[in-house]
Parts: sequence; structure tokens; C-alpha cells
Amino acid sequence: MVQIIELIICILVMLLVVVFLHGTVLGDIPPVPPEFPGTQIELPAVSTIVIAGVLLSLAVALAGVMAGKAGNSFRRKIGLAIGATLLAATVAAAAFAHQQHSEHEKQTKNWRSPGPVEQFSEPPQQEDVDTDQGSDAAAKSLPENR
Amino acid sequence: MQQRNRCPKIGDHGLTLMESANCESGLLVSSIAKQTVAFRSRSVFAICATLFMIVALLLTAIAPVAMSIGIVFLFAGPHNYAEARYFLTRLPARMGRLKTFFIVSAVGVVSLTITFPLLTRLPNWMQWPQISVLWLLGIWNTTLILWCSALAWLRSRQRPKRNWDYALPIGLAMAGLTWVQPILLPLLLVFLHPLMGLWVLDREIAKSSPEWQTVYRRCLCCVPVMLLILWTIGPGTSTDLVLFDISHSARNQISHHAGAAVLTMINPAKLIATHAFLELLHYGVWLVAVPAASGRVFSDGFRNIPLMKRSGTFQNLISALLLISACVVAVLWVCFTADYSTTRDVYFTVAMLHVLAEVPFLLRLL
Repeated sequence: MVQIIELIICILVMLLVVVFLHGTVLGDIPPVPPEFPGTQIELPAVSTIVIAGVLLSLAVALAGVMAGKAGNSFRRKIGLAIGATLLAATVAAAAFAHQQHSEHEKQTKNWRSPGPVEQFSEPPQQEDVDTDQGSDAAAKSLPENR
Repeated sequence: MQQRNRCPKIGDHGLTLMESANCESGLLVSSIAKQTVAFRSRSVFAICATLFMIVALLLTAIAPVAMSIGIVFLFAGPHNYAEARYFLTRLPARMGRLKTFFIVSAVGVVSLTITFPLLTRLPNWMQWPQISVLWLLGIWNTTLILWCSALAWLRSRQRPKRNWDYALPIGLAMAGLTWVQPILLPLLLVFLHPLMGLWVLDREIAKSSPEWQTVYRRCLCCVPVMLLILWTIGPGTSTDLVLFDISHSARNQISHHAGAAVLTMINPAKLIATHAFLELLHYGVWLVAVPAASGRVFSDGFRNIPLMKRSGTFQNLISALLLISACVVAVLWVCFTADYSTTRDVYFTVAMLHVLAEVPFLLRLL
């Protein structure tokens, strides 16, 4: 009997947890979830290049060290050299991306709106054109129950 | 073993020619019988696996959305229970030298699962800019990959020892690549996680039912072919919406889970079908194939759980936990019936736990 009561309490607790998760912690989940917040945005190119480049350089250098541990010092040297080259390339690429970014920002900053578009006070009138013919044709193309 | 199966020579212990011949023929008959049983079992396995895959392909191609709804409703809970039972049979009674490995595993599984739902919600609560989601995702991805690498390195030091010294460099390189598009890794997990179950099954078959291995690997080769079929002549639109009276909001939610919001260049119906097909294979693997191949998940009650033999307290504790897990499965069905959309969202968030838990157990099997 006690076990059954424990079981019922467990089920109730689980239901409460689900309700709690739904209502409080996770927030109201709409029936149609909005697009994932990250899909429309991208990380800044400089940050991506620096993080990815440093991690890749570290990976290659570490692989070289591992190879060196196995007794092959040539592989270690090659690994470390490639790692150092990758790191240098990362710094260069990051600097280039930063320069591009700052130039783009400068252009955006200096950009001025040309102002409101001037509206024509009157539609251009054409001379020597028989406008009646045109309006007749347009009138014919309209449905009967106008 | 060989000693027992070998017949004594003529003259040994006064053995006559007739007795020796009888013995040889007896061994031959028993060997043929064993081969026949193995052949039958292999054939049955091959037929069942192929039929299951074909049926899964047809159903997910004809009604991708309905299948996605149906299979998650029916099998999401039970397959988690089966996985929990399987993991318990694989946990040693005493950790011994494996203590560090299992502690690192548990810390990683728990912390990564807890932080996963916060990646999108924390910036909302704290009113951070939208881009912070990508930063958090990148940090989470890096932690996940480095955790896997650390586990692989720890596993390589255990018996049977493996030469996995390059686990950390490979992990670092992968972490670096994920920063290029941080949103892709969680999505990749959605599609790769079912395949991880197939890998676990392969290892389990190699261990417990090696006669199935050749057939199983041939069946595995069919999976990419079937995916190709699904992608070329599969569903162009979700035609089952009208047939099964499925709302567009449910369809949108399912396509969102299948990654349609990220992979905008791919037809959502094909993404849903692929996800449903792989999920169905995954459920089949955990609910039928792994218990059948290992013969230790549901058989013999709780006798195959080493932790329960440790002490009476452990026995009671694990019995209670399994009972609660079984109740959770039932509660999940109730919740799915009450509010499918919300329960599905909550389930797919919490399900990260079992996705991550598979990693250390797979590494132990390799």
C-alpha cells in the first residue's frame, strides 16, 4: 500500500515537474516555435577567425608533439612548424578581416541619406497625343458591371 | 574448450576403432547442428533487419510528419528506459580504476544537459543581444568536443589499451571548425545520434552474437542507399497533413526539430522524413536489437545489473530508480496525450541527457 502511494506521489511529482518546466523555467512555449535565434545572425568574422585559427594551430602543434613522443622528432618539428604557420596565418587573416570591417564601418558612418525623393507636382503631359483613344481602350477592357 | 571437443585416439584408455568413429561422427553432427542453428539465427536476423528497414523507409516516405509524431509518442519513453537498463548492465559493481572515467562522464553528461536549454533562454532572460546565443553555443560545442576527447584519452589508458593519443588534437581541430558555424553541431547531433545507437549495436553484436555481424554490416551498408532513395524519390511535400488531420503548427514544430530553420536550402519534408527514418531505426535498435543481441537487458530480471549485487541499499535504490523510470515513461505518454506540442519540446530538450550518456558507454565498448 505504501509503495502504491509512493508511486502515485512520484507520478504527481513528475507531472508537476513537466508543468513547472513548461510554465516557469522554460517559459511559455508557443505552438509554433519561432526560428532559432541564431539563424539570422553570424559571429563577427574577426572573432571566428581568431578562435578557429588558434584552436586549429594548437591541434596541429599538439599532434606534432604527440608524434614526437613516439620517437619521431622530425614529425614533431614538422607539426610545430605547421602549427606556427597556421597561427601566423590566423593573425594575418584576423588583421585583414578587422581592417575590412573598420573600412566598412567607416563607409557606413559617412554615408548620408540623399533626403526625401522630390515628388512631381504634375504628371508629365505629352503633347500631340490623342488621350481619348487610350481611355476608350482602357474602358473596353473593364468588365461589364463597372 | 578444444580439449573437451577432441575425441581420444584409438588405443587411448582401451578405445576401439568403432568407439572412436562414433565419437568423431558425434562431434561432426554437433558441429553441423551448431552451424545450422547459427545459419538459421543469421537468416532470421537478416530478414527481420531488412524488413524493418524497408517498412521504416516506406512509412517515413509516405507519411513523414505523421510518422514523426507517432514514433516519438510511442517509443521515446520506452527506448530511454531500455537504454537506462542497458547502461546499468554495463556499469561495474565497483568502479576501481574506472572511477575517473565514470566521474568525468557523469559530470559532463549532467552539466552539458543542464546548460543546453539555457543557451537560448539565458540571453532572453538577461536581455543580452541576439549574437550572445552564438557565443554560448560555440562555448557549449567546444566543451562537448573537449569532453569527448578527454573521455577518449581516458579510455585509451584502460584495458584493453588503445592508441588514441591523437584524440585531443582531433578534438581541438573539430572544436575550431565548429566555431565557423556554431549552430550546426547541435543539429548534427540530432541526425548523428541515431547512428551512434547503430555503432553500439555493432559492438554488442561483435561481443555477444558474432554470427550476426557480417549480416548486420551488410544491412548497415543499406542505410546510406535508403537515405539516398529517400532524398531522391522521397516526399516533396508533407502530403499526410490532410490525411491524418495534422495542424500546420505541429508540422512547423516538427520541421523545426529536424533543422528546417537552419538548413533553409533543403526541402523540409525531406528533412522530416530523414529524421523520422533515422529515429525509427534508433528506436528499433534500442528496443529490439540491442536486447536481442546482448541477451542481458530485459532477461533474468535484475540479475544482470552488477551494481545491484553490491549491497542491499544499492539494490533497493536501483529498483526504486527503475520503478520511477517506468513511471516516467507512463507519465510521458499521458503528457503527450494531453499536450503533444509542449511535451515534445520539453522531451527534445531533456533528451540531450541520453544522447550524451551514450558517448562513454560507446567508448567503453570500443
